[in-house]
Amino acid sequence: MRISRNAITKLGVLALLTTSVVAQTDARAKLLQQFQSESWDVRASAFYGFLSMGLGRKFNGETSEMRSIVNKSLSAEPQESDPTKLALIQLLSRENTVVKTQRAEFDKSGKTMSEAYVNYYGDLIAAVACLDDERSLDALLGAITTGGLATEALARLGKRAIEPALRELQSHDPLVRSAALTVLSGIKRGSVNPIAPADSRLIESAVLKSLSDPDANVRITALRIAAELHDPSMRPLLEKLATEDPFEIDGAYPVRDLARTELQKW
Amino acid sequence: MRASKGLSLAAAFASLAGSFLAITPLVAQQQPEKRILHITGSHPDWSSAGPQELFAPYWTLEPGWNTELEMRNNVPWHELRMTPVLRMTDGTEVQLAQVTLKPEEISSVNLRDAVSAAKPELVGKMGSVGSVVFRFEGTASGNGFAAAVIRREGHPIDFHFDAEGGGAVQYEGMWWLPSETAAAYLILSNPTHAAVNAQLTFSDASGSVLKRVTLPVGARQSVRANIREALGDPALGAYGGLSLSAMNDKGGNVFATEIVYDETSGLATTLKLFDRQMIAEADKSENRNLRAPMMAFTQPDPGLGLPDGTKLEPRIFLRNGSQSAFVTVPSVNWHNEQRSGRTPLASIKLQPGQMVLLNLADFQKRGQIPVDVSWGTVTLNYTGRSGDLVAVAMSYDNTNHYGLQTPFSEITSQLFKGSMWHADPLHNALITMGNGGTDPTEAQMTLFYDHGKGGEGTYRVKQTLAPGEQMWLNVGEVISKQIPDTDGKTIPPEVMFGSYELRDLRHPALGFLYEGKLIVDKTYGHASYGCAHCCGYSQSRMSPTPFNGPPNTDNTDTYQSYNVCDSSWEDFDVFFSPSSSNTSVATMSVSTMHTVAPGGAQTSGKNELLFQGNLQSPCVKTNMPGTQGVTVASCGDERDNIIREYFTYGVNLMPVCANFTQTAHSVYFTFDELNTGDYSWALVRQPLTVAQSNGYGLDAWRADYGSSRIVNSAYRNPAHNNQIGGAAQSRHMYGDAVDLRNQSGGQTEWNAMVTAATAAGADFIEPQNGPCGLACAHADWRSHVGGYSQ
Repeated sequence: MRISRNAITKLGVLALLTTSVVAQTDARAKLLQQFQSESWDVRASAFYGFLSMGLGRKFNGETSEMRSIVNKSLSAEPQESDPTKLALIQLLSRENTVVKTQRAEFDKSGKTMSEAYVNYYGDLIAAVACLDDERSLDALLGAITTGGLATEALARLGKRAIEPALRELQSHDPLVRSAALTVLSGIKRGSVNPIAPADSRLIESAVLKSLSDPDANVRITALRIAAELHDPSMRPLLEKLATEDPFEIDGAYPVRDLARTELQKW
Repeated sequence: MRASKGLSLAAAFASLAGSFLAITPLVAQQQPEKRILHITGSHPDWSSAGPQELFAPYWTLEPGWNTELEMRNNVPWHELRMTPVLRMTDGTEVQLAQVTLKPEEISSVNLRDAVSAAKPELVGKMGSVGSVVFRFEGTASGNGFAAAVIRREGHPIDFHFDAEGGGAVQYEGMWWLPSETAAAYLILSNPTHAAVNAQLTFSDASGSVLKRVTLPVGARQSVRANIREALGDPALGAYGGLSLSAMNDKGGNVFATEIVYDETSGLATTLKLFDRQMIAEADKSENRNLRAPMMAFTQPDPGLGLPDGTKLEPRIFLRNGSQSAFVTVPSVNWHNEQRSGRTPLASIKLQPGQMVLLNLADFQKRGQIPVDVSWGTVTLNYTGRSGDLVAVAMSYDNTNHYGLQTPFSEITSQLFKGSMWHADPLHNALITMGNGGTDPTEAQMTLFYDHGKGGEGTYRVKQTLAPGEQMWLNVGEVISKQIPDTDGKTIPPEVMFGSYELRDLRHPALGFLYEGKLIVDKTYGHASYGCAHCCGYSQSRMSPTPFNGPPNTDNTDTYQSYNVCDSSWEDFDVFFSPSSSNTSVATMSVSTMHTVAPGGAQTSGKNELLFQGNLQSPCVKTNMPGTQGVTVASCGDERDNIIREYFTYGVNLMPVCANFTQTAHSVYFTFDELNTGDYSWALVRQPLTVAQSNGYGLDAWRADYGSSRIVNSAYRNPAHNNQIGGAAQSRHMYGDAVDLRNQSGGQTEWNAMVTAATAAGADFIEPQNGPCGLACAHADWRSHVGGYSQ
């Protein structure tokens, strides 16, 4: 068929229209494909598109209902639920890499990531967190320093997360070690996936060891957990921290102060 | 029809890229071009899912007969579980095994096998006939497509009955008894829970009434009437008119279908009955076009595998089903591999009830249509109501031994979901789509396959079609020759069946495509026609609805319609006829809803779209109003301005007056610290004010840190957020985020703040390379439940 120049021009316009039409043809598959995009805003748009599948409208920031939203989106195709979960987990792994890679640039030039990106990153962590899927373990570990969404999700994985969290205690980053302690504490407390006494002892031992961590923030986290555990074997160390901890900031000794406070409650 | 076995179809059609050459644009029969709407977004929505039913009018397992049930999932993103249920003629039901269908998947069930497991006594028994209900959970009956294909075993006789969402109460049709050995049956099935009396009026070719018959059809029951017996054995070759009325006030309706077959000659034809639309707008008298897109002419296409020398007689029965005379203008767009063209035929005036037999072979003999063409689309233009013109096309040889049919339909659409295609050693599929509009369009045909094997194969072909131009796809050839699609993909040679869809890409909201499909059965050498399912819209709305906002707000409304096949709300780029039920509360322009003063109103806009409700499946062009409930409430203060900003800056949150506070504070932080916006009001969610003893929240963060902190940023009104370069959906506009200053700017303090935020249960803490950098630490409690503090 011969196509006139005019027709070719129209085809140029058509290409744009086709995008939206094709997107609705197999919406889920397209969204998962867009998770692979090199462009973060395409990935973010696809992620929010996935949430919209469960809502029937735009996501309006109701992260507290994320579990229900994600479940609805996944229930569209129960048979495809598993690969879709995996795609979300892989997406988080990818964003973890983006954040870590950009960190090098930040350290060098001070250039920060946009608020829009980190806001999406937070919502993505929320979505993966509510999957309660063992396969998300590494992805959540990659976001372990980003707060309760990640640490609580790791804790809900129970025994499966103990070993990886213990490994994170060897990290050179004190924030990672501190967050790993938070995860271990959550696992020990966990009511969803109770752990065996031997595992419990492993965690107690790690907390005890962390009370002597070289970083004050890790010691503070360990101290809070130790107080919560109320383990008599830890008391001597708390007492030592209350009097001898060297960390000083602006003339104050936060670790000593916290240890004293906790001992008073003992 | 019958053909010799095993003939190659390879040369049947031009390659997939070879749509037949451009055809002279039609003039008189074209519909006026509509305003072209474009879809700008799509929002899948399964929230209204509930029980749905589709009805196929006939199945049979009587001796010598079998039935195949086809089920398709039209929804491109959601699984469908469909349960076929056989209804006996007395309305009793036999449920068969549920079938799970992935998106776009099609599956077939051999009824003999299925019934042998569920109720073996029905197999091979006289009276084993009835209708089929296909039940599933969905948002509309259009989520699914189903069909019953009945076959006379050992004969080239089969019939394809599409399932639809409901029947009708008035039909116009015809009867025909082509030979002494031909059997003709009228099948009436009532899908409803109300009994109906079907008043049948048989007439002769001049319109004179021959006989009136009343057939009661009980709720959910079926009746099979022998037309030869009803008419007292009319003359050989006789034909005439048939009118059916089942008007009632109980909501009952019927499916009416008529089949004629002759086991001696092998003839098998469906005499389509044309239903009167129950939607008033669709039933008005207007200019209409009926099209038969796969009319076989005298010289059969070699791809059909008919014996050499077979000459077909392409004939069209025409009947005036109305009470007044009218003129129909026929035309033929013909083509073969070498050439194509259009032949307008002489107008035909039809008196009330009159029937005319149009033999297109005569036009070929006279040279008006070339003798060597094999295919064409016949278009019948007339002005009247739906069902006024009854048209049945068929092409058989003079023994009625070889031939095939193409049904007339006036449906054009932007989207068709097609039934099953076959491409195996015994079958092939030929699929066509044409441009029924007045300007060129971009048409896309997609084949879906391999759903059951862990794959989701798609094969897409796009082509620009001039008005009246058709595109053909020989599926068997595409696979056997490994012809690549538009994206360069091929269908694996082992693939033997699948589903398909057709899309008008240039007119994605109100398309102009028409369609057809033939399945060639090489075992018996016959071809049967199968229709695709037109996808329309079931409802419209203006978004957002409900709208709640203060006076003097301008909101860019979006007109949305619900696509019953895609199960998605689609956004359109424009709407028309804006109106408001109360302009003192809200006014409406073509793109913007403007609030005026406190009160309630309903605003609306319209677009002309294809309506498809559950009652009747065919798509009809309708002006669909989309409405929006509007509540205008004034806070009476600057909160109105803040709320307006949420609309102006496109923040997804829509707060109301009561969400805002002028006083909320925590032990450590004053309201002025929590409100870093431009106004004296702010949104402050509870995690920012809750006591530290709860173990989480802003005060817990401050306490765990151990010394006072300066708030860099907490609540921001949207304008302020925009001014400082905040994200379009920043948590700071939701009232649950705080940035606390890192007063030293050093790593140690930042780490201490993050450790404290973690201990305070912050859901999300931005990484150090987030917008704050080392200057502050951002924490938010986005995942915590809890309302707004006052």
